[in-house]
Amino acid sequence: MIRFERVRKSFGAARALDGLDLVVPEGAFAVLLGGSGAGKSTALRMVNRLIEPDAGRVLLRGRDVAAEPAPALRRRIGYVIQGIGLFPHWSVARNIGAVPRLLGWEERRITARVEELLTLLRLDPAAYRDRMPAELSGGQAQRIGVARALAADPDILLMDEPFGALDAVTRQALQQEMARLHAATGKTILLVTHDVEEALSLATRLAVMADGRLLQEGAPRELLDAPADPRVRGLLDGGALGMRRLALVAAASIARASGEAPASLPRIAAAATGRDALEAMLVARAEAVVLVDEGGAPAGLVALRDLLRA
Amino acid sequence: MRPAALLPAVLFAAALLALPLGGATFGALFPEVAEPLYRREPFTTLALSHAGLVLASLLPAAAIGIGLGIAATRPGAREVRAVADALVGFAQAVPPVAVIAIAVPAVGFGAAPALLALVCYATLPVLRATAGALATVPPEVLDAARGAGMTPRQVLFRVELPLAAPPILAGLRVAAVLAVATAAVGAVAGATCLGTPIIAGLVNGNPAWVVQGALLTGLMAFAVDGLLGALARPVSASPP
Repeated sequence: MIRFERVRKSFGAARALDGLDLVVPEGAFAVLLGGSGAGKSTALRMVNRLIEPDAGRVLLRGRDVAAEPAPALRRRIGYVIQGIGLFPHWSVARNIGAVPRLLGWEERRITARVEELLTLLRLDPAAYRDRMPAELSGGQAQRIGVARALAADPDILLMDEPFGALDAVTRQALQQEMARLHAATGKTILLVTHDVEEALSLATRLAVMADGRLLQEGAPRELLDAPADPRVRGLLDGGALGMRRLALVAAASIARASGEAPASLPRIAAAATGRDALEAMLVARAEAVVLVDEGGAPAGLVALRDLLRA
Repeated sequence: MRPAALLPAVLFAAALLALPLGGATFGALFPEVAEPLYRREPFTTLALSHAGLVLASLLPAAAIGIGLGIAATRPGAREVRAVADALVGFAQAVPPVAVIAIAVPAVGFGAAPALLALVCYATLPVLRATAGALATVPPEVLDAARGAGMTPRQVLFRVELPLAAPPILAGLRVAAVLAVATAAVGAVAGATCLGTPIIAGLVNGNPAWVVQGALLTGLMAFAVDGLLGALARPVSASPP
């Protein structure tokens, strides 16, 4: 659990944080959303003490982060940044092993951990281990960045606009990867972004910030349905409120029994969202879509009017 | 190491060995001088003493230059950089002969004033190269290093210096070549070096000696440049 208590920070005359109170529950995928200058990166960088607050405090599992020497604290917190920041003079394996090496792990254990992480991030260890960062694509480099952050099995993962520099396709692939990693590891993740779509697709808890303050915090659906502030509404709406709401609903939750599903209807995976269902209907010019389980058997039917219940 | 890099060094060694045998040639080139070959000290002695001056000044210059360069790029040390730049810039703006002339009353004749001047001159390129190279380390790499839990010392030695090494080595190379050339001026204050025949030739109206000293000084500078260049290249190209 991460807790911000009345945290203030100014850089010269510019006020970055103006009394931030925020709790990130254990195991959450929390996203700090806001425009530039909202103070979200400042807040994130206070968790691993890359920035120290002027007033207030930041607690990690109930303990003030200032109570521990910064290097020791940082070694148990994963950190992923936008520029990726791989060490250009080190191989992929050495980059991933950076924190374990600082912690004094045995060489054999580091090697095994590097293999394990490359496999987890779906990169072939034999092909990538010995590459230099300059030999990686942006998406591959950011996967290595994530692997490096996970290397010493940290309690929490901090991600500062991690996918901002990537192209749309790679960004989406890595977002799915992060959702999968979060589900698989159960780690607390705090991610900063200005991208509403990214925030909505990843967050289990969404915190919207502006001018160094928290505007609203809650489940993404709560914020979409009941924005507490015009600025929250303005940010989340973006002319696509209905579609965004649909994207947060599992198609299975609004499905009815499929009966004998007509073969003419389009079929989508049962894990799809309401938005996927609508998309499939529009593509096929059909008024309903059949959900199929992994074996290909019909698991339910979503009609156009069911989407109104989302 | 490419053979081309060794060529200047081979040329210098050949000149060093061949020059004592060239009395007749210089006699023909400069028929008006009575003693066409400089013989007060052997050229090898002069060259060794010259190299000694260069080394003895280069080591402190490297230590001061790299040390100041590191200090100037630490967070919250912008003023250090300005002051260091100004100081060393000033030291280089004064001509070497003047430094030596001012130093003689303070430290006496011989190698000491030459060393003082050489350290002043060789420090600036090293400092500039070090501060410049450290400033080019990408900020996100430094952020990642700190975020990974490296102490400031670990960030410096594991990330900053390895990344900055090639330009720093290039700066050392410039400093070394500069020192070889400047060391010849040390002869004015009585330091024994390849400048000694030049000064002796100027004083005695013997252009042959001037040519001999200048030739060897120039070739030595080329040799040092070639050797250090060959040394710097594999360092920058090799993955760790």
